[in-house]
Amino acid sequence: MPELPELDPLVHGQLRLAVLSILSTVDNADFTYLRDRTGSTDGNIAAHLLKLEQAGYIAVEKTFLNRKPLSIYRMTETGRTALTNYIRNLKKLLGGEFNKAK
Amino acid sequence: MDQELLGRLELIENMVSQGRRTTHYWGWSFVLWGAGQLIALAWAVLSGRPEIAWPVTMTICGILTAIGSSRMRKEEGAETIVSRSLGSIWFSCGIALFFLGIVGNGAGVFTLKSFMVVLFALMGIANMAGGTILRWKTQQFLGAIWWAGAVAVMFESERLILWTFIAMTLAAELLFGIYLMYKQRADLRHARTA
Repeated sequence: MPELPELDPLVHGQLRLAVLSILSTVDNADFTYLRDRTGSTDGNIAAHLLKLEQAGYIAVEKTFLNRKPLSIYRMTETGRTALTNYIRNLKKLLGGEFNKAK
Repeated sequence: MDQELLGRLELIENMVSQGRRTTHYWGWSFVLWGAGQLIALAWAVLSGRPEIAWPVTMTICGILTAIGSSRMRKEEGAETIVSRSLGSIWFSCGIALFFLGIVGNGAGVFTLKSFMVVLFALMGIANMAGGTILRWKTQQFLGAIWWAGAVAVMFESERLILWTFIAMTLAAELLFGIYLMYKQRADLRHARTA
């Protein structure tokens, strides 16, 4: 029996997966954009963004806009590879279900 | 388990489509440049000083566009490859026209006819490229109209060239810009009620 692939737990979290998916399609996005598009709250998304940043999956640039702090996030190559591997493994795990869903 | 995994797949698809969705609306810039060109033309004709009227008006339009696009970028909160591609096309064509207009006309390189051919061709390129990136047939059609205008201008008298320019500015910039602004309002209204 072939060994089933494991899913990266850091990517698997719903909110973290949502953030990585969005960041894979844009050059960069600020904190408010990510919070609004994922329908999350400030505190919740901040904690997950920090986890992704610590893992090196995303990079943050902290700046100011009209004297207010502004955090701009972008996906790193490590993050892109992690998301690609996650999707590949997810498809393998789903197997027939994935083909039916398509 | 499978349901959870399928849910994750669905989440990825939803978020990718969210990220690709752009809320950038450029109707105001078409209106601004259309109005700017008509003002410059009227100023040049009335004062007989086109060498002042055109650079001043176009510089003001350029500054206003830079301010407006910068505000839009900040409000959107994200930069996409599509928005950067569109911005680069219009920026490049705009800068090319500005320098060709100022240096080329100042140095007497261009006649009215040859400059208008260049202007119409560059407007056609920007609209066709933008429409192709967005897969939007209306703007591609507009690009084709600008190119048809460029060909027509080659065979027209100076007087007719001016009227062609006015007609294109009114239709392909002012009216198109107003249509885009109307579409923006309708989209926002739809988004609020959805």
